[in-house]
This record gives sequence, structure tokens and C-alpha cells, in this order.
Amino acid sequence: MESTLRLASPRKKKFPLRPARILMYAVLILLALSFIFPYVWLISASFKEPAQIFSPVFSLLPRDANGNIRFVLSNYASAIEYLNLSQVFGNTMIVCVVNTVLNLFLNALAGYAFARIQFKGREIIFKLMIASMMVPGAIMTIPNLIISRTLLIDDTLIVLILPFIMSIYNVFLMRQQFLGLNKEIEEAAIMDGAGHFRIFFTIALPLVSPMLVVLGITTFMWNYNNFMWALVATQSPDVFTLARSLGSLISAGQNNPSMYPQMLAGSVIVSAPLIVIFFALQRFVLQGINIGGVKE
Amino acid sequence: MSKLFTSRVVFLAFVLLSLVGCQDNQGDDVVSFWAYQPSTQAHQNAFRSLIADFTEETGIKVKLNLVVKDSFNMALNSALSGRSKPDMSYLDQPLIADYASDGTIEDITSMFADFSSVQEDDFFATAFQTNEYDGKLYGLPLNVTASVLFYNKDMVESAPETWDEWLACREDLPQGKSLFDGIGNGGYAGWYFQAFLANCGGSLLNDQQTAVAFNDAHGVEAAQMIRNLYGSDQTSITNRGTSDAFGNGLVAFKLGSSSDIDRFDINFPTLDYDVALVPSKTGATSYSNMGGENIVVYSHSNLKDKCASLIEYLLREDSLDKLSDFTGNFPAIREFATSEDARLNVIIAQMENSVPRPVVPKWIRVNDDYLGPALGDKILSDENPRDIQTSLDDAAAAANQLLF
Amino acid sequence: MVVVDKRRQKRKTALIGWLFILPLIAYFLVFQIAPIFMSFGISFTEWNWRTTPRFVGFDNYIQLFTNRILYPNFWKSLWVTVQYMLMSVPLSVAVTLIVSAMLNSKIKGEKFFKSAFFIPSVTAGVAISAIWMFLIDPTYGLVGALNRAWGTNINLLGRTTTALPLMAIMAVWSGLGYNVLIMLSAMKNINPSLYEACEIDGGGTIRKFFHVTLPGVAPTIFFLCITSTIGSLQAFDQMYLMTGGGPDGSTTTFMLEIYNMIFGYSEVGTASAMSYVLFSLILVITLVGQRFLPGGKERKIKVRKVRDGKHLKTC
Repeated sequence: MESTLRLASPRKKKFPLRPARILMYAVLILLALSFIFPYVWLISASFKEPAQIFSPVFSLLPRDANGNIRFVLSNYASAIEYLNLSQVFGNTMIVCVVNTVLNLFLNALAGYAFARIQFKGREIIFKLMIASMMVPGAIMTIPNLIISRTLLIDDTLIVLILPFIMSIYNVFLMRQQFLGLNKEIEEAAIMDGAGHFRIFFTIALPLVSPMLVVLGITTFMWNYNNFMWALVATQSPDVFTLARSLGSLISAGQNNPSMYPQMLAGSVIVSAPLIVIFFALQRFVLQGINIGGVKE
Repeated sequence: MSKLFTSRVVFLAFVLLSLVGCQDNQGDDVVSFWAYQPSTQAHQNAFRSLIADFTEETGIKVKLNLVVKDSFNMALNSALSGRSKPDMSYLDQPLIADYASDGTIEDITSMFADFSSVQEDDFFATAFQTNEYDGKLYGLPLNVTASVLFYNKDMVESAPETWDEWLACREDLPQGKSLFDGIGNGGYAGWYFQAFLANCGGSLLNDQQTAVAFNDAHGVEAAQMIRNLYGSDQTSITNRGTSDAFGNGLVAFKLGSSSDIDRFDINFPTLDYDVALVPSKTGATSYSNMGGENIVVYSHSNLKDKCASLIEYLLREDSLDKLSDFTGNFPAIREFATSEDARLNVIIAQMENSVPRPVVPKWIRVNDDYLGPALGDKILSDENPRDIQTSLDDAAAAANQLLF
Repeated sequence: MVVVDKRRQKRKTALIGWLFILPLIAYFLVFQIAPIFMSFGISFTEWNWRTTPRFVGFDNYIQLFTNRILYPNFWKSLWVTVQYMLMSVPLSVAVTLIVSAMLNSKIKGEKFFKSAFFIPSVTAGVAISAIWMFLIDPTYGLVGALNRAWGTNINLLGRTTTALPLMAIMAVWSGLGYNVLIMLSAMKNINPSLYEACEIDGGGTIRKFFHVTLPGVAPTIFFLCITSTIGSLQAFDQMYLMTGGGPDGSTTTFMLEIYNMIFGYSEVGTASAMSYVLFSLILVITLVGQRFLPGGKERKIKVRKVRDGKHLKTC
């Protein structure tokens, strides 16, 4: 593929319309369309009347019986009712916010300790943690369920928060960040008599805030989209999250196409917030991959 | 430690504790009742107001949890082993044996004896029997249904009454149409199979209930009949793979029950169809498979008398009518199961000769994992149909090992 | 005096350090270590939640491996999962490489493409299942429209031959954005002078790709391979939501079977045993991959560079 560098010899001209490049653009555009089209189709279908969703006529824009363009909100109304949106949205927000805040705080705390505080056994414990990253999450499902039931927290919002309150990977990332900080600032603060906690809170933490933002966003999104654990650990509709609630709507639609209208509207409702957040905070999300990317 | 630190710790602790607290105030005097979720929003709301009326009348608080039928059994199983166990719930007929045998559901023989408004004779006999295990009563039937024959009047003049007549209808089919819609996969296939089995003289278990009998000559005959109805030509395969094939006018016959009547009336208003008794092999008595919901009370519950009140309330005529409306089935109390709709009367007539599934523990696993797949996936597979006798024998061997 | 102070200071610091990682340790013990041992222990019992566990030794494992009547789906679901992995991982890595390479060449709208590909990564897996389920419905979806237009009968979720591949494609589709971001950033980290050197040695586009780009992102390829593999071996959500196990068990993955084992049959001991089988499988695959995949061992790249002695031939 072409070099990304300005070439040494200036006489080499660029041929922007070489057939290879045209092909490349074509492939990329087609691929991008395959990513955008389903969402467009989803939104369009969610505004159609149920009869039109089931009709054989293929139309991108919602139309009524006479062929005029008409957007319908009834699917959204039924979806909101089915999903019990107000309570479920509240549940999701509680879970996501609490988990994200606790996660950021505790992971940063641990990462800071690993990076900047000397104590015996630090390296061993750290290596142990890294080794444990190997264990895949799904293996933990059953035993975590048993533990949750023993602790009597199953079928509550807590069971959705507690088992994920820390993440070794995030601790690792935070440690990286803290390692990169300037020692002098810290030393100055120690001279002034500040304890480690004050240094952590008032100096170190603000300095790594870009990473905190990125981790905050990814953790929030992960919690928002988590389905399997919610399926396994909760049964009462009182503690359903958006993902879980949507899941039961989809199960209802699996053998019963008449639920499709609600299912589609429900999907839009559930996925829209994160997509909006993504586009608003695009910069942070995309850059975060760079920060946390694989080191050569 | 710094003040900031401690204040934050206190705050976090408060948040966590309040979350715990939030969930525990469900109250110890609220009856937790799980039921099948009706498929339309309107029915779901009607269910809730039915329960609300009960609370208004008796002051007993009820927490209604409507769960999609397909996920119901698993969700129930999960809840029964966790913290939030229901006090009472709907229960699929075949599960009565399982939960009765390990003491999960309560023996309600005496509870029922105390009911002032209903007695055993009021119910459809076979429906009542599905609640009896080991000589005791473990539940009550709420609604019942049976499968009947749906046929498209544009393609079929009059309903066939024997198997031969049924197969002969294929000759008159218009181009591009096929004879029979699929009987589904997994558990559903096993369920519908019973109708065919009964109609040619077979049964799922042998008379002494010591082994399965669905792989005998009758069983093979029944499976063969379904396969013949299916047809292996491309048109039939195509039509069967289409969602709502019968509603869309692609197939001539289908087995279904009362909920299907509602569905077709609403979603396919132009479809000209009718219902009839399921053809028996020789034109003798028409048998069909029975389905329906039973209601049970759980042994762990502290609110059994409140549950009893709710059950008696649900067995009243107007309650039963509404409940039946939601699932499309019929009230299990014979007197209430009447209708002006001729089609529904066909189903009521069919119910007189419908056979329930065996009341043995683990039958549901046999149905869902051995018998159902043997039919739905092996014998009736479009891509790779397997030998009927062998498939049934394999399923029977597995079933015998599991059950006996 | 000073010495004692210093030691006290050191101990105080150590104490604070431990305090800081106390939540981590607690979490680690309760939700990471304890489960591993619990699960191991339970796998040797027979337990149906409601009664007390009964010790049965290796019986669970033996029955899983040999009893085709009680556990007809064990091997099948394992095979389904392996198939799924073999389909989705190479496809995912290959497509990621190609797309990243394309985006790496001076191209307009890089940001647009990156964002477009990333949308599914921020969409709930549940919603993605809903979208695809509707799109490929043979009567009502996009595929349905195609069926009517072409007179075909494409029923992707209803046929055993197409259901699982469809899920694999869905997985590749969903993960592409995230993978491309990682790969692209790795590609951008490659020293440009290596490309120059290759050009001087007479290398064209293809050679540059295979001799500079690929080796340069080898660790990232390895990383993607491992994470995709581990992810695909644990696939659950789509299969549960879209097919519930699929036509004739063709989309019943191992995790789905474990789920059925727990909530369908109430056999917690057996399910734990199955989890351990999966764990071992993942462990083996990871270790094997580390040995044989490109980028798994750093020294392979260094060795290649030193070849040919004085003149460092890069192409």
C-alpha cells in the first residue's frame, strides 16, 4: 500500500485517480454503507405503521395507506410501555453511573499505588493480577451467580454493579498513566507534608483525566450494554436494565413476528443514547484506543 | 485520613446501602404471582387491571410478573433457586410432576376442599387430572385448549375427516400452494405429534406407565402421516419456511388453537378460513392434544391463604373469561366454556377428546430434547430427513433411560 | 533518630499502599479467586440448587464426555463453538487488516469511515440482534424483499447450513470498528523510514505490505487473534436472542448449552464441569497461539532483521 510519508524524491507525482485507488474507495464506501444502512432501515421501520412493516412493498420512507409519507409514533408508545421505560431507564442509569464512578475511583487508586507507592510485595501482586486477566469472563458466570446468591444480593441492582466494580485491565492502564507522571511534582508535594492520598486526589488524578474520561466512557458503555449477566442474575422486572428489557422484547419477537414493530422501536430507544454520546464525545473515544493500544 | 476521603466513603456506603434497602422493601405481605405474558399490550394492561380489582376488593396486594411464555420455564427455574421466588404462578402442565415430586409446589388438596365456589366436577376432567400426582392435588387448571384443524376455504371445499381424504386434498391445490404448514420445532413438534398419535390409536406411554410407547407401529404411522402432509417438493419447503405461511395464503392446512384464531383475524383479515376437528385416521373419534395453564402455589410461601383467595378469585366466571382471552384458550370450568363463535365451539367440542401429556417427572425434557427434535429436526428435516423408526427408537431409548 | 524515622515512614507508606489496593484485593478474592475454586469444587458435585450438593467425583466429567443420552449436546455444542471461532476469527483479522491498510494509505474521510465502522461497537448487542433478526427475516425484512424480488427462498436463520455463518459475519461486522481502530493506530506507529528503505530496495505496494506492514503490526495481529478467539469461544448473546439454539442445534454454542444446563435442567455441577472444560480449552488455545502465531514471540522479528549481516535488507 502507499507510503504514508512524504517521499524523498519530489518529482514523484501522485496519481489520485489510479484504478486501484478508485477500487479502494468503492470498497470502503460500500462497506461503510453496510454499516449505516441497517440503522437507517431500523429507524425508518420504527416509524412505519405495523401494517406497512409487514407489507410486501419495499419503501425506505414510512408511508401510509395512500402512499403519502407519514411517520407514526405508535410503535414507540408500545415499546415504551412494554419496556417499562421510566423505571428501567432509571435502573440502567443507577447501575452505569455508580459502577463507572466506583470503577474509576478504585482502579485509579490501585493503579496509583502500583505505580507510585513503594510497598513490599507490590510487584508480585501486580504480576498475579495480570495473570488472572487470562481467565475469561464467562467462566465466572456460574460461580459469581452462586456467590451473589450466597451474599443475598441476587435479583437486585447491586448484583449488577458489585461483580464488576474493578477491572484488572483498567488498573493496568491507570498504572501506565501514573508511571508516566513527573516525579518532581510529587516530591514537591511530599516536601509540603502532603500525604499520599492528598497527592493522589489533588495532583495525580487531575493529571490523568484524559484517560479517566476514556475509561469512564468505555465502562459506562459496557455496563449499559451488558445483557448476559443481567439475564442470569436478575428475574424481577423491577431491576431490569435497558439491555435486559430489550432482550425480553426480542425473545417475544423470536417466534412472533407481530412483535416486530415494538421490537424495532425498542431497539432505537435503547441504542440511541449511546450512539448520540459516541458522536458527541467521538474525539475522546477514538483517542482512547490510541492510548490504550498495544505497545510494540 | 483526610476529611474528603471519609466523606466520600460515607457517601458511597450510603449509596450502596440505599440500593440494598430499595430492593428489600417489597414487603412481606405482597403475593408474588407469575403468569404468561399476553401478546398484545392491551391484554397486558387488562391483566394488570384484573389483578388491581382483586386488590381493591380484598385488600391483598399482588405483584404481577408477566413473562414471555417461551422463556417462562427457565426464568421460573432460575427464580426458584434464588431470592425472589414467586408465591404462586402459572405452570405448564408437564411440569407439575417435576415440581410436585421434589416438593417445590404445595399439595393443595385441602386448600381446594375449602373453596366454596368450585368443585372438581366443574372442571374438564382431563384438565383436572393433569394436576394430580401421586394421588394428591398440586394445582388447578385455569384454561385449556386443544389443537384443531385450520383450513383455507379457497383451497379446500370441506374439511377432511380421514387421513386418506386429507392427503387427497393435495390433488386439488392451486399452483404454488402446498398442503400443510409445519408443526414447529422442539417442544412444539412433540406436542402436536400427540394429536396424530392419538388419532391412529397410539399413545406416548404404555399402559402400565413403565416405558414409552411412541416408537411402536402407531408412532411410526403418525410420523409418516406428518411427513406425507409435509411433502418434499420445493414449493412445500419454500412455503413452510415463510413466516405466517397459512396467514399469507400459501398453505391449505395448519394445526392451531384459539390463539391462532385471534391472530389470523387481526393480522390477516382477508384470509378466508375455517376450523374443523382434527381428522382421525379412519374417521372415528377425533382426538387432539391438550394444552393449557395450571395454577400452582409454592411450598416456601408464607402467604398461602392469600394465594388461595387469589385463586378463587381467578376461577370466577368473569376472571376466567378474561384470562382465557389473554391466552386465547378456554376456561377450564366447563360451564364457562361456551361461545357464540362457531369456530370456538369446534375447539370446545375437540376438547372433550383431547389427551394430556403424561404426568411423569422429566417428561418435559423428553418432549423438548428427545421426542421434539426427533420429529422436528430429524424426521421432518427438509435438508436431511432421517429414517422414522430409527429416530423414534433413539428418542425412545433416551426417554426410557431418563424416565425409568 | 533519623534512621528510625525513615523506617517508620517506610512502614507508613507501605500501609497506605496496601490500603489503596485493599478494594482491589477484596474484589479479587471474592469475585475472581473464590469463583475459580468454587467452580472447581462444584464441578465434582451433583447439585440442583434446591437441595444440598452431593459429591460425585469425576462422574460429571465422565458423563459429559460419554453419555450421549443424558447430554446429547455436549460434543455438538463444543463443535459448534469451535466452528464459530474458526469462521469468525480469521475473517475478522483478515478484514481488519485489509480495511486498516486501506485506511492507512492517504485517504480522504478517514474519520468518517472510522466512525461509521464504530457505530455497532457502541450499540447494545441486544439491539444489534434485533436489527439483524429483522433484516434477514425471510418474509418481512430486507431479505424478504429480496426473496420476493428474485423469487428465492433465502432463510438464513432457518437453515442449519447458514445460521452459524450468519452469526459469524454478524460478529465480524460488530467488531470491525474497534479492531480497525486498534490496528490502524498500530500501523501508524510503524517507522516510515522502513517503508522508504523498502522502496529503495525496489519494493512495490504488495511487498511493502507483506514485508513492512505485517511484521510491524505482528503483535497487534496476535493480540486481535487471541482476544477474538477468547471472545468467540464464549459467544452467547446473539444465539440466545436470535435462534435460541438454532435449527437442529446448529447455533447452540457451548455457553448457551451451559446456560441450558443450569436453567433448563438445574444441573449446576455439570454446568461447572462444562465451564472448566471451556476454561481449559481457552488456556490451551492461548498457549498454543503464543507459540505459533506471528507476533507471539518478539524474538522472531528481531532475528529476521539481523539476517544478511551488514546491509539491512528490509524487503
